[in-house]
Amino acid sequence: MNPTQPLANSLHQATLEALRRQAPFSAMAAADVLWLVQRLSVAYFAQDEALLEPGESAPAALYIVKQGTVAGTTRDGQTVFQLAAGEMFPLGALLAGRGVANRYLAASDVFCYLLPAQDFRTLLAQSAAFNDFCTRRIASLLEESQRAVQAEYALALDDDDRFKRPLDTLIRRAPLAIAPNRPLREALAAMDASRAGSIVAMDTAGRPVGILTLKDVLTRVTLAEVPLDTAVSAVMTPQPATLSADAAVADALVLMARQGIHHLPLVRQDRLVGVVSEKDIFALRRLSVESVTSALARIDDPAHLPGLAHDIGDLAHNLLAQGMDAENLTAIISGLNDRLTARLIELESTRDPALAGLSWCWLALGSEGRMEQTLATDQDNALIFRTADSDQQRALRAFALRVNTRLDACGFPLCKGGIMASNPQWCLSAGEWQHQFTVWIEHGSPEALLNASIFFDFRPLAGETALASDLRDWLNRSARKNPRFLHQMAANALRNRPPLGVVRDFVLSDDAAHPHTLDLKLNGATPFVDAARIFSLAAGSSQTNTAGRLREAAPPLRIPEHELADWNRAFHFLQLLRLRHQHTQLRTGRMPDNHVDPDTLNPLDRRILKEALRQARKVQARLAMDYGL
Amino acid sequence: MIWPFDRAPHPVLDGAARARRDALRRQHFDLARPFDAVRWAVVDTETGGLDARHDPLLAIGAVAVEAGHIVLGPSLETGLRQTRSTDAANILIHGIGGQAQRAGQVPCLALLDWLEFARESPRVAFHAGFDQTILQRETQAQLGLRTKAPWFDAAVIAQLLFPDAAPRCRHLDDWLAHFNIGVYARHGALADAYATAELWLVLLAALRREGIVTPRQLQSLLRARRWLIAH
Repeated sequence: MNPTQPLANSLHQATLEALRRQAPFSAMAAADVLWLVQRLSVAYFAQDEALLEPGESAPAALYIVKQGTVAGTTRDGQTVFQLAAGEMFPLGALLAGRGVANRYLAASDVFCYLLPAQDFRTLLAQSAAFNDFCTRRIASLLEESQRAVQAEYALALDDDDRFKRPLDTLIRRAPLAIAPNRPLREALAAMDASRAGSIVAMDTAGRPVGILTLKDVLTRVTLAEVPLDTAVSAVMTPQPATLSADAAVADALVLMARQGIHHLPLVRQDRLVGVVSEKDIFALRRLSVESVTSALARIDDPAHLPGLAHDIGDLAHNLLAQGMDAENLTAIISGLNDRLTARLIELESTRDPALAGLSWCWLALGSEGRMEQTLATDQDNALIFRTADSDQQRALRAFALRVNTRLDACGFPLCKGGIMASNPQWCLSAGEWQHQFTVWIEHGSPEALLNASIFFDFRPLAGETALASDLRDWLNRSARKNPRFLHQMAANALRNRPPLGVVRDFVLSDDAAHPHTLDLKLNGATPFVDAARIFSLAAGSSQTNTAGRLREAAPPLRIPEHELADWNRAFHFLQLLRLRHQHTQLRTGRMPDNHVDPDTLNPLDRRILKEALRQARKVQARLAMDYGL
Repeated sequence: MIWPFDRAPHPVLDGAARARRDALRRQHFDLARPFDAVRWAVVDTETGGLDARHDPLLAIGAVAVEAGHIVLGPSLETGLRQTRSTDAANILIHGIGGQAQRAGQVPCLALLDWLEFARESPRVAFHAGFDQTILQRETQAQLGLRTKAPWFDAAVIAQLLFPDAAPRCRHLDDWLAHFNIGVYARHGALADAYATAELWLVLLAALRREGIVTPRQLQSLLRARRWLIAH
């Protein structure tokens, strides 16, 4: 017996010695390992027995394989990994407090040590070596996080469980509602604009007091020849059946069948939070990138584009749900939005005789220019033309205005700052653009730098792309000739520090509109975007995508491979967090934004977020070094 | 009338020990619960020889199996203070040197520790008859206490469940090798109790596969087997 540990008997000592032959126990203080040993139990699993099943609840214990082999398998029984003696699982699920993604199966007869989840957390806090081992590598953590998210959504998407899901998982957008005293005309226009099958009459307290469906319109309005000035309350179905948003999908089906209805308002504390239709439940359409793309090509009336824009949104939700990574997902969203915009521009421009013979190019700016659109994106665009007289310029702006308005109808709100092709300020000839860019480069005022950060990410979307690529070549040459400008850009970028705290984990916003939050866009993604822009201007690259810019700029700027990889991983994690956050907001009928309360993240994601922000600091440190700031 | 030659000399217990002993008098063993709700006390003893009726008890080691898991934290390891060391031959087997033997606990306190650890749990041991006999003998001698705890013999149950392997498996080590169970420290009472507990987990899983899920059902099975052998 060890005299300093009077409670340790020979079994504890022997277990301690056996454990300390492997990492991380070899690096831990003996007292910590002993603390662990005295909280362990040993379990036996016969071959083929399941140790852990994918599920929603977090695992109750940490498993350390004592003897035998444990296999991680997918739902269809494929082995994805094997764990041998000394290995621990499921670290990611325990850290994240989520269910496990894989099935853990005894590949042979297995003995495992089990440490209760609560003791696991205590040990994390108690032993730095253990904590480090469990949470160290951001890459493997991301993998775990991604696997867990995938599992979460896979469960939600599983057909077997479809009817057990809560109804709020079916809510795709904010409910369409109207005050009961408003005229029918208004209600019908709103239904048409948002392609909704029903509209809910709602009182001032937000409670549903009636519902009007398209089917009702046929019998109660059209055939009954009711004037459209009539109040909605005169024709609606009063006191409609409602369900709690937390009720199961199956409950909705029963209610619909019993009452012969097809639309059901969902409430939370009596307030309307969404509407589900029978179609939502049965026709969970299987959308694919291909089906949306070919539908876009077939469309020949711009009025039908908003429906497809909605499909792109749904597709993005599905892909996110299937666990697609942020880099591919944002590229797909941007790609489809590009096609939609290009198709819209094509339809609007070919119909316009005033544009005949004119040479112009539609420029995507900002996040669209970088191909990094999330689920909440304003439009940022501009137009470049070769030569045009004042009438032709007016025609170009009129065409641009039609495109801007249609894009707005498709769910890309008009830019609040007026950065749109229909704005005379941003519908310029090639020469005027060069002049404008020169002013910004030479002036270096905060406003000029802000504009540069938006406009210098331009990318041709439709029309004559040579106009854009010539402008890009010219810009790269001018920017490199003006080191002072890049220096100012760098200084400006460094003003936006990642909000890592010295005492607490994060520095949170004291902004009254979004208290206790982090702005994942401004304070998270933007440092990467800004640095990548400067690196790529310095390296003379024509890339506009942040990851692409970093990749192209790394060799000439001698940025080490592993640093580059960490930066891109961190950037994409931030993008993924934004997408997930916006996805949740859209599903619960809120306006998507980038303000995340870190306390709502699970411990694993919070840890990775911290690491990602640390990477943002590293990018800034590199920028500071390059420009002597 | 006092008849001084009829009774074994009663141990002298101090007040605290007496109170602990008395608390152990009334015990209830519930054998109808399913295995997952049963706490088993898996025990091994070390003795000064192979004669359970006469050789001295040197050490007791025990672990508990609760909810189907071996609990490492609270486990029992206690040596019994000897008035004189046993033969050198046995010291070689058990590795408890003369000094360690004599430095053990006062026997009555060691036995109280064991009984309090085992509580109302059914006992499990490998070749349980031996451990049962010596522990009951010492309990009565040191504490004046008769216990009626149910005992289960892992050796008998292993033979019953795995008749094909039984001819090759006589000792605990044979069964551990058969089930490929690696044990890191052997030949201490606690280490052997722990090894027995690992074997016990395997046996419980096998019993469950046979549809036997409570200690009572296991008892009936063992009784039926004894009857079959006897007739």
